[in-house]
Amino acid sequence: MRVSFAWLQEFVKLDRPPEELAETLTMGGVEVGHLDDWRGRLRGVVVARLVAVTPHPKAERLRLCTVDTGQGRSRVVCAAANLHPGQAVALGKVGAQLPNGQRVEAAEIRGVLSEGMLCSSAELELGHDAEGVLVLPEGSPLGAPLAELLQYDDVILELDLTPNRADCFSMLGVAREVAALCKLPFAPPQVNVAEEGPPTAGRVAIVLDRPDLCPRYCGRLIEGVVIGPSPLWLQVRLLKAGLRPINAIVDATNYVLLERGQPLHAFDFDLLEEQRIVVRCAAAGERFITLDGVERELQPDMLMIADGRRSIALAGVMGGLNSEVHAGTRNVLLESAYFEPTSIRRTAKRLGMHTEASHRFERGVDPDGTPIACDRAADLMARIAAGRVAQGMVDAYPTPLTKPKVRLRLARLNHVLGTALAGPEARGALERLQLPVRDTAPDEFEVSLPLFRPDLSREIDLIEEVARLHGYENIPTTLPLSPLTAESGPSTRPQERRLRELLLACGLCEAITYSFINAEWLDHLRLTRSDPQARPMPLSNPLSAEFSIMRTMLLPGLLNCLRYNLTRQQSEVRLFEYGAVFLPAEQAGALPVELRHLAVLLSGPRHPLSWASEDIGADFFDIKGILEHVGRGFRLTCLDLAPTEAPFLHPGRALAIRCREEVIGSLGEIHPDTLAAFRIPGAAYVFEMHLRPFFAAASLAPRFAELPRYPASPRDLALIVDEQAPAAEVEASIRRAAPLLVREVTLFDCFKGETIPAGKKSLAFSLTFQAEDRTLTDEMINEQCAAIVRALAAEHQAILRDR
Amino acid sequence: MRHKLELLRDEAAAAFAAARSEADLQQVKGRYLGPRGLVTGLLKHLRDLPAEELPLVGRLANEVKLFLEGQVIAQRQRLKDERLSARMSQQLDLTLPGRRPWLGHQHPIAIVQQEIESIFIGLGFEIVEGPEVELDYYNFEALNMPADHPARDMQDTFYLPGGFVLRTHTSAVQVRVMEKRQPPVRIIAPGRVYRRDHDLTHTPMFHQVEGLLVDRGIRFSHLKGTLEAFAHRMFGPDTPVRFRPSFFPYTEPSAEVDIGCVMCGGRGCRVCSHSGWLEILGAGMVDPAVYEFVNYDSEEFTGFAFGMGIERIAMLRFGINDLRLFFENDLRFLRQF
Repeated sequence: MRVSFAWLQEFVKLDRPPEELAETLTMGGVEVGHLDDWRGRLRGVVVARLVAVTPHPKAERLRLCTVDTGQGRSRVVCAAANLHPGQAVALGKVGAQLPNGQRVEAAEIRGVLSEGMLCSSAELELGHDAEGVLVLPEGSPLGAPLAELLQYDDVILELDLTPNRADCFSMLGVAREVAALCKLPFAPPQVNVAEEGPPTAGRVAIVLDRPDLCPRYCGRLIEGVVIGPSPLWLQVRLLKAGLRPINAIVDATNYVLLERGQPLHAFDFDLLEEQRIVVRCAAAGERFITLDGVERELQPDMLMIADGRRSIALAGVMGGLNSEVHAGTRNVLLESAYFEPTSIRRTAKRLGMHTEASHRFERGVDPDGTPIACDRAADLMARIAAGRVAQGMVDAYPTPLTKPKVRLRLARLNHVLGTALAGPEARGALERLQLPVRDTAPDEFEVSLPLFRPDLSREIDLIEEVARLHGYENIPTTLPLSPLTAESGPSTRPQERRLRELLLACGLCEAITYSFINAEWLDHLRLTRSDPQARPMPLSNPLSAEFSIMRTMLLPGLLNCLRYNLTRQQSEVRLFEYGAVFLPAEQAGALPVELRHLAVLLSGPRHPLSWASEDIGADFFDIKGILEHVGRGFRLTCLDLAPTEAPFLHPGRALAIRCREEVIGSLGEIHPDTLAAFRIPGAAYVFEMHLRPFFAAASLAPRFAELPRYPASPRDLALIVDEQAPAAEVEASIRRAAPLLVREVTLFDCFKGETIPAGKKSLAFSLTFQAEDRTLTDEMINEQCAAIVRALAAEHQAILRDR
Repeated sequence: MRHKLELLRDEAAAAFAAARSEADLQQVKGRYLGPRGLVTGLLKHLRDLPAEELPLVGRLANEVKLFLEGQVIAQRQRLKDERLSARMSQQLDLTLPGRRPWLGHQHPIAIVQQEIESIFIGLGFEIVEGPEVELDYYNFEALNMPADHPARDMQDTFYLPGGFVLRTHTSAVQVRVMEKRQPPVRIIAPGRVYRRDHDLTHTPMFHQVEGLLVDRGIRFSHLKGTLEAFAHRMFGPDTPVRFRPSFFPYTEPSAEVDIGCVMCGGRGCRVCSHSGWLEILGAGMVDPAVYEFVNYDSEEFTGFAFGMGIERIAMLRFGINDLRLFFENDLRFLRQF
């Protein structure tokens, strides 16, 4: 809603400048989002009379105009075609300032000095006509500044209204609110209409087929209208509010819409069949052309205005082309109605329409104001379009709408707000809002709720009104006292915090990607159809293909991030994401399954580029190391990694992550086909796992173990084994062979070639022997070593390597 | 014999002095002074000397032995000194950069979320989470937004087959919690939310933190106190805070909370649209209509709820000027946090 400060003055005598008023409104709950300051946009443009028009001696298209401002004459060169002596025009004097920022200067045009300029409506931002000069109404005072005449020195307050404040979609409503907030007197102006001619009642019948959807319908007949432009002052008001002037009749309805918040519609009465208005629902499959020329397909629950035979308007949304006021219209039937908000909202939404009328109807207009608005518009049409208002109004209102009175307890008010307001303060606030209040008991009131405030119906609504008018800044600021509670939900925050800590310590960056992804990205993973992760839930109304399905894995999003970064010359990519993935519900009707996943992705160098480290790429064992690091960080001994196959992982370079026998994810190098599909050069190493079983098996609480009292003895063991022998199994054999005394086994070397026979590899382990109860002697250790070597020979055909 | 001794003494002393290392010295010492050493061998022959020569030569032999042992100690010290000074004079280019490990970076949203959580945990709130795919009931209906309510226009919603919605706000968690518990309820619910909007100032997914405190005797003044305390912890104790009336279907009275612009200090700038204020929170007293859905007696219990956007606060905290950066995951962005 755009509210002209100057117009507002008509209804309430303002005591503060626009900036302060904006602050008051904002702090009162009617937020002023922006001030559109028109002050000074138009300076030095005055009313002048065209005295003489003669041709320019040197240019065929130009004319020399002599203008009189009452204080003197001047000559202006002008190219407009509509110049006739005697007209009142807008003269931009030398030095004038136009709204578009242009300054008028004296200039020689083809040898003739032009002292000023005659302005078109486009130059004054009053319309689109840039060809002809603006012709002002006769009798406009010569020499008067146009800015004053048109209330151009104004500030428009742009209100950001919340959906509950239907009452503020009008100048009168805003004025009421302003008066209440500023503690100023407010009295809505009286509306009088001069009637003549035969009564309306006998000539127009109103039939309400659906009084539930249209509880009230008022009509007036205005006869003998002349369709022409509306007066400039009215056009300017419409323009300031953001509406386009059309003709005097339509402008009058829009003017009253702005003044009173009541949308009105003017029908060409002579186009109506049978002089009847029938308010009914659309017929099944009915089609209707609205006055914007669009043919609409109607639903049977959409409310229509019809005449004796056919629909003539989409009720509360837009009129019809078949009954529109046009240049030849002589008699007008004016509609002022109250429609049920939900019905209008549904219709407008389904047809994808949003109009000034529907915007107000769906929030609720004032049923008590309907006839007043009708009178006001009829009166305006009489005055600006030379119409005669027929006697009487037709007013179909079978069941007048009422609202129950509400009890307001002062104690409750102070209890909810934390204030100590006295009765008169609370009462005063409500009365300033024009709500009738009656004392019923000490500190208890009965408040009548006017229909112009559809948002008020309960005690709490009144408490809010009092709070608003009292000012939130005047409510105390205190901290609550509430008993401590021992209850604590099943939050996994401690585990999550630990997880982040470990991942950050690995030098990873946290990514947050959208929960919906491009369906193609999931296809790039080439999952088998039986995989539940290959069956994502589609969004019913996605924004674009890029966000069309709910992710079932984090990996596609991270791979997309990798590509994004590579195309931006960022090649050191180390990312992780922690978040939900979404799978369809197992049983119908249940919420989809949301699982917390973790995914990690490495691509690029193993170390930061440095003189001190080798420049090599990260590989499979880097990603595996990160997973092992995280597992160790959670003291997980049951994390088990076993070779597997996954369609998106490189064959032979993929591990299944298992936790207590359950497969919770996979790890490996991304399959070259998947990389190619994502257009990612190079290699990428990833793992992704489901965190619930991981956290369930994890332990955050350390368990202290006594420090060893006796010295440890290190021994190295270099073995030659078959190339295919898994290192983890060799290590397991070592531990099995000497379970009591081998405390640590670390593989510190693994190589092939040169000194090693073909088909074999060398594994070198560092063993630590230690006992809890004594110092181990060389003999004992040698014995253990011999046992280990025997076991390795038996289980892996391992041979001890000479050193 | 005397001559032999003197020759051997000089020879040994020269050999000790020539030793280049500790091991070297040890070996040379063995050659002369060891059990089978040259000096030791010569001394064994002393008993073969004539008796009159014995005292004199014997004393000389002793002197030689002591002298050489002293020499060994002296030479050992010399080697130690040499080693030390060699090490001292070794030149390192100390300006070479150190061996840096990779540095990890937390996402700015996660940083701010943790900060918000810790502030409210300190105030006695508990963290709960709700599903991101929600029922219309929890996201709208039980929050006093029946179908066709104009307030639904404020939040353009994503739908999934089966009538599910992607929650448009973390307020959806409120009713889930109150359904299961009796007051006092004191929770915050952080998480992802979704709205069908994508332009310069909107992303289709973002993060919110919802808060809810319901108990006997909770007042609007408590809402002010709690949220002012939050704003002061988050943005500094001198940050101006103001409460403006607003509207949410599930709270009444409702408020929007502004802080003095952190960019311009309240003088007015582009970020605060020259108002000097920045909106950071929506809040209000829980509407009695919501209590009806969870069977709380609104005469007995009152409470307040609030919600804030994490991105908004992160943008203000870190001076980030483009919302979209949060989800592009450009490493040049992520590495700044």
